Amino acid sequence: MRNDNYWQKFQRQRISRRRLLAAGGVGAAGLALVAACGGDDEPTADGTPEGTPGASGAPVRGGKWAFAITVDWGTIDPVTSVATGPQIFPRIYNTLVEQSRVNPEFLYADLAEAAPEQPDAQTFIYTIRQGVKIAPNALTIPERDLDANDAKVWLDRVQADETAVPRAMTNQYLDTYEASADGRTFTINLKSPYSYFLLRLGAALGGTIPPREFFEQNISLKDQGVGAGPFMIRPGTYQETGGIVLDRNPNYYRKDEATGEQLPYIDALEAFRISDRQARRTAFQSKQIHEYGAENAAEAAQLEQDIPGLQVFEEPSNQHISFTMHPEKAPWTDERIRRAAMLALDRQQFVDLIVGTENGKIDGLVHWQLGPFALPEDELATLQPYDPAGARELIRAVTGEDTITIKVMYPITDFQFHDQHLPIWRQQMEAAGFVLDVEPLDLTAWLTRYTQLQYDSSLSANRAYETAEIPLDFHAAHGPQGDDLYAVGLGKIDAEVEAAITASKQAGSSEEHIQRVLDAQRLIYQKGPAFLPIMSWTTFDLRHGFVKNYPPGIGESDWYVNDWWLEGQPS
Amino acid sequence: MRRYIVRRLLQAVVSLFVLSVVVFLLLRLVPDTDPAIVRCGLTCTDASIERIREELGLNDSYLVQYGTWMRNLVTGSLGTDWQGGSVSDELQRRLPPTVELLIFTMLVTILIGVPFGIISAGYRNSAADYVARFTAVLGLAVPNFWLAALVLLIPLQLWDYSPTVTTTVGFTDDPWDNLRQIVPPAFVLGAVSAAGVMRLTRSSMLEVLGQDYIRTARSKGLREQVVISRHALKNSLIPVVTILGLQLAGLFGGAIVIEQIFNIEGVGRYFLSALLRNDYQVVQSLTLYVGVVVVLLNLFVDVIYAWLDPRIRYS
Amino acid sequence: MSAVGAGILTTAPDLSAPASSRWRRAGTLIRTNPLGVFGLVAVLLLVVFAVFAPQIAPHDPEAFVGDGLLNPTPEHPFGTDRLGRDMFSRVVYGARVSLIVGFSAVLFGTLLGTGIGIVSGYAGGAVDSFIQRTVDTAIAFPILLLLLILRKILGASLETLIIAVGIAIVPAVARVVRGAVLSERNNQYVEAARTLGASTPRILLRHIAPNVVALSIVIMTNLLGTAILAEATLAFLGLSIPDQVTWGKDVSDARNSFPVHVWWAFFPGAAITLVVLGFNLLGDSLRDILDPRLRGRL
Repeated sequence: MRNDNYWQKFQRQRISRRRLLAAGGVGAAGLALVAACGGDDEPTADGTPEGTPGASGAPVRGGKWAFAITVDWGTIDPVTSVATGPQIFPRIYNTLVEQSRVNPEFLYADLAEAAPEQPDAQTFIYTIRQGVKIAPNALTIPERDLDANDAKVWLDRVQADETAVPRAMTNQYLDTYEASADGRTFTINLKSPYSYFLLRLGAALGGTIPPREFFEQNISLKDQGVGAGPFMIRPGTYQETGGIVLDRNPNYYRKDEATGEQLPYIDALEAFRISDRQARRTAFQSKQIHEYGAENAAEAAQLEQDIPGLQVFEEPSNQHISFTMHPEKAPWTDERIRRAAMLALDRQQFVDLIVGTENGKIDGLVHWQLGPFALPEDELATLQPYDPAGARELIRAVTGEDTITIKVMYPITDFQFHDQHLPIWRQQMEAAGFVLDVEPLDLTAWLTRYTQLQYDSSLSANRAYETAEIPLDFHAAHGPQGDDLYAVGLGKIDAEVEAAITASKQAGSSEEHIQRVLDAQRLIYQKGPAFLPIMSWTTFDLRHGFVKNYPPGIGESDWYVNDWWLEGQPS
Repeated sequence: MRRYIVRRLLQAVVSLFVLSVVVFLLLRLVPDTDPAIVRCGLTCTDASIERIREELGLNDSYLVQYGTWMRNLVTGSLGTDWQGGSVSDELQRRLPPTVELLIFTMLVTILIGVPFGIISAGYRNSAADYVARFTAVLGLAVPNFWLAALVLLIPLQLWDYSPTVTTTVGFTDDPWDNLRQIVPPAFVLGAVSAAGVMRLTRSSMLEVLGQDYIRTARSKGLREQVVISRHALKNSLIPVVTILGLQLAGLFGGAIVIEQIFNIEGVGRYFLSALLRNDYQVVQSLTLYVGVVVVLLNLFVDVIYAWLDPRIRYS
Repeated sequence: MSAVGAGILTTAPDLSAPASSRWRRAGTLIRTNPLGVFGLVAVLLLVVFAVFAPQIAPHDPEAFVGDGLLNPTPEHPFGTDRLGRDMFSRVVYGARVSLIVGFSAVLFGTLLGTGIGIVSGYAGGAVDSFIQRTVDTAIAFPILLLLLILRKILGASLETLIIAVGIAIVPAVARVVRGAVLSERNNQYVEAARTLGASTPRILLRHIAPNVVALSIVIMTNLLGTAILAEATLAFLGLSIPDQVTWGKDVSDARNSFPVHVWWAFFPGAAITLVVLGFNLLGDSLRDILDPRLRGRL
């Protein structure tokens, strides 16, 4: 046998799962199998489900699932939306193949029949599934089957629109793509190997494909849309600063494997805009919404006491607060000052005070939940020690004085503990000799300046890092999207760092991939990082007891899956 | 009398004009408030900013921008907000719940404040008086968002009950649900201003009760209740009415907080988010809108006052 | 005792009565007015806490001295907040901001408002109209906008808060004072003084000012409570002072955790309530003491 490349080995591991997914239906039993193998354990050899929460008895048809969103939609154009839209795009549209960020073993083949064939590391051949039929609609989109041409036109649009989300990836890696004449095969060629390609192409953020008529006939997707997903938008319910209602798509192709029933089981989804946490919790407790993200373990425990039958799902959050220094602005141009800021950080104190030692851990440049891609704790202790005295020495060496004044901006938001990070961080920095000239901004203003690099240094609000690529890319010259947004990386001023980061994305095998990611981190530590993640924690997703068979352990991929049902839901 | 009204109307127009200019200029002259940058968002380039500035008309001279705004107003349009949506449409959606909230708040204020004030004055220095005064001041002293949180949470903890906090229910859609949603927050807002009204009613009534003509009425042998209701009440309510106008302006601020806590999609929150994202059009249009209401209301109160007390008219 | 109908110059308002009888009256009123005493005590407590905060508070209010979210214990009589900071120390230090913001803003606003009200009420005519219309416009101007603008110009500091709250107070004060001046001005003894040739400043000083000053004092004490509540509301909206300990911020931060952790929010909230209550009760009593006639004015 020749040397398998990374992809071939990866694919082989997935074959046993693929069989389930490719057969055209992921019924309750099948999904339970996949879900049971989630997390960072090795997949079990046999497929026995391990008591998946919720899965019990026969599915019940009907009901409306209610959930809360916390920010405005902005737009519900799946090609350009970066805000809340991705929560509903998998429910309205389709992606080729989706891969779970939290559990790479989980693949969801949607518009494609199965994971793509890969004759080599840069070529992906998708076989398009038949029967993926568009929902009935009043937007003059015909109720036909989607085919490879829809994917092609979609990528055309991505290439043409500078605000398209997938551009971040396609700009750097996409070479050519074509749809076969019969519409059953879609082929993509990359310029170079890219370890995260499958994941990013299929992501809810930017990876869902609307029918090509929208692009060919220039029909706006800003506040309307229709696709071949499990649900369709109920006309008149979308409000840009409010919610939306989705009804079951009567043309949806998936069926319950066991019973032959058309999926989804539930009749409708409704989203409500509730930005105040207390109001959200009230809505959850009074069963006006069926899902709630608790702030911490204590809140989850309290709600468990108050609500009988509550289901609590602990999942890694992949979000963390970070401190960013603009390496092209004084005093951050000096690597010693950057290092001083790093030495000032007592990350363990953040963990202890905010989420508690059992719910979080300190982060290196790549956060701990990414397993082998994160540096081990003992190595981190030497690379990023807590040493305020050392920080003071560095400051003295650079400025000749005991303190240095720095300008910091931060967003005023109560999202994901940010307001708690601030006082702790301030005290640590001040103890290390930094005098803070603080500029609080409201979230929108902060985000704009953050993306456009108009700051000296900043505490950032929560960021979601699904793979090792993005935290490393924050050190890259052109930023995590390759378009210079957020780009305050060392890669701008140091070609060696840039080369290491690029290399980490083009590995041939998984071992090489991991090694390159680790090496890139070590190199950045040597040079004095400009982007410092602080800690990551576990989230607590709460669902009422009457929500059955909701898949845990696959992260946001659960937006694609629609095999769950509501049983005994109060009216 | 008519001349007085006309004069005041003209003055009101001038007031509003000045208000509009002040708001207009302040928004634009303050540094670091370019709405184009905020709207441009994540994928911003210099070209995009320029495009948005053109679209929002920010590159025109101040005079032109002001003129456009005024022209829009005259034709009934309140302009477009930062995403290009119509401000009038948004207001149409958001005004009913806020107006309803304020109406119920005023109702609560009057229905609780005035009677308790009268009782407190009538039975002065009795236990009832002390209790009423203490409770009133307590209502004044608790932060309104705190009271609101309690009103929301206590029924939740005890009975798992909560009014609808997911969407804003219109009165025409579901009257019972709508009342369940609006009355508790109105109660919270109203409790605070009721305290002020109660104290004012009390003190005003006390002064009136000390007047000669009241003593005359009493010496004529009239029952206390008749004395109060027929003679004292009307006069003592004059200052109360004047205060109500001021109260309303203050209630807008309270409405912002209450709307956030109860998740009511009203004008208050709309205004706050427009403020935070430097949405010129919304802020200036809403300010003018509210300004018109407040100025007219004060005018109305002043007219009543002048009608009751001719000396004021000619001052 | 209203002077209307008496028509005699010597029937002056109670404020002109000899000082000793006023003190005697005051003493009696204190005895018969327990609420006012309560208010006074609350206010004094606030001042003591604020001034002697470093001596009274056992810990640095920003230091992380204990486990988070503790219930009250002997070591932490008010418990701790989420980050483990001692709530008792935070309440004590928070009194400073409440006191400073309250007094400064209200003093500033009341002085300005009283001045405007006096001028407007006494001058009458076109001046009065002009000022009144300006005041109307000012009432209609959104305070939040003013605060945000001030923040952009001056930064998010204590001064900004004081100026914004102070300006917010001015229109209401001006209106009330003007009303008082108007009715004073039309009193017969003032008319008589004018007929006798007394100059405007003399009239203002001897007849109008005393009552207005009394009125202002009462207004101020009530407004002090309003100012403290205003800070709390701004903290709720995220617009309070970022780097100081305030009661408003603590109550606001604690609100979200309220049903889970009760004590965190309780003490700062109780502090606000107590102090505002105290100011209002004190104001009521002051009003009773200073001039019974004023009861009709407020």
